[in-house]
Amino acid sequence: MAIDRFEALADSTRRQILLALAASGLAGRTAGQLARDLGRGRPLVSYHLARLVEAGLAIAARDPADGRRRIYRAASRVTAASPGPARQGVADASQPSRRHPRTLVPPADAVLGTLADGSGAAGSRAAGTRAAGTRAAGGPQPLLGSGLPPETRARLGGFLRGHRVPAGQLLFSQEDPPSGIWFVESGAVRLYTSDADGREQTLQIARAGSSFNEVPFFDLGPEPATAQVLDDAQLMELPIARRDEILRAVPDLSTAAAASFAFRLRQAIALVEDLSFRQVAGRVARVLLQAVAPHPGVGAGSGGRLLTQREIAEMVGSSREVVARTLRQLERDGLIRVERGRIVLLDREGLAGHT
Amino acid sequence: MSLCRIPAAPTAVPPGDAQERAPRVELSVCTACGLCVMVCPAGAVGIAFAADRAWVPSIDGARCIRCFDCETACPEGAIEVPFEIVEQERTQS
Ligand code: SF4
Ligand code: SF4
Repeated sequence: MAIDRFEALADSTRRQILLALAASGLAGRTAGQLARDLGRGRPLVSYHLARLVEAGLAIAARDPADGRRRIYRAASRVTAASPGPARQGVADASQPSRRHPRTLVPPADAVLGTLADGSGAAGSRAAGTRAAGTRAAGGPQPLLGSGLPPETRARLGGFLRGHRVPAGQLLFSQEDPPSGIWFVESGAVRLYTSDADGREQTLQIARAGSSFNEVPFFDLGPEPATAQVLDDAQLMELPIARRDEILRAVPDLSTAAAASFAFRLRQAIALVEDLSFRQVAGRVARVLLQAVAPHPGVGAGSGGRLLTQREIAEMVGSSREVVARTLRQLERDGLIRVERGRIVLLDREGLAGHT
Repeated sequence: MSLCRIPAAPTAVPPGDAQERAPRVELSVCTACGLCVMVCPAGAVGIAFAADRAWVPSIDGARCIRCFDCETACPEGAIEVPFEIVEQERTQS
């Protein structure tokens, strides 16, 4: 049962944990480190961390160096700089913070500086846990990446910066200052937005051959979504710092980008339709169908990956429990069969017609 | 809470498909409550000993029947059971 911010802060241990998280800033702390810092038992700290995450005061991310561990950070609305009591920081933060760029996650350059062209040793272990479930990307992702004329591509080449990024790493967060245009050479990147309570809505999964984040490159606005690497990725970035130079040198980039924007708009409309006009069961059915017939809308780009109920929940804007119930219902309706480690689609038309 | 059943010490499962698709346990949120050990109908959730805490659940991918019971039971949302999605034709051989 989710608890709210005030309940979360009513407990002194949780306040201590939150302060420690806020003090640790971008580095974050693991449950084990916090337990040592505070001289408390780890199960107790883990319990309180889970409550803080529920309340949207803390954020958990996979440790890029060890995919099985989680690193916790104070949510961006917890003012890390404030040395005062946590309540004060949170009270500030409960005001709309949309205009303040998040400082929680370092801008892409800071994150990636240490990773660029590295051996990726840290990530190779995480690759074992997720990337192996990935098959070649299917689906409608004819974006900037593969849609560019070869000549344009060649001229862009000099500006592109390569990054190897391990699974779990955030590239940028919603509302960060704009980063560049990204191209996925291999791996997968999840783009999502999150609300004040930490609920996440997956917008799209960008797979090999596609690009993402064209919008801020052109309107110079803040990042519209958060990008997190799902499977160890080889990425190329067209850095925004060289934007003017790039646009001068490659004038037809704008034309190519228009095609990409058109695709994005269709994708966004399909997503809005799915989310506003379909019941959860219909959305879950649409995600399942991505595996056999990639289409825009919920779950775009997820086809061919191993999925979990939580991941589907983040795509359809619901909870894991509801997704589990929905899958059981779809099975009772004879549309799918849940087997050992897989879901078999029995009736593609039936699923497509499901609302 | 006492554990009802302690399966044989978990075998070190070789990396491979079975373990790749085994339920994943996010140890940093696991509170070692033992529910997953108790509910697993396949005896696939074993107990492993960790340096910095009493024990942690350890799932044997080869024994796991992917029933989702542990994921459903875990009060911390620490367990996730991955699955693939396939269409019927491809499964009939
Ligand atoms: S999915 Fe089922 S069989 Fe597998 S570990 Fe969990 S409870 Fe046990
Ligand atoms: S049910 Fe969840 S919290 Fe409890 S021991 Fe298992 S994984 Fe850990």
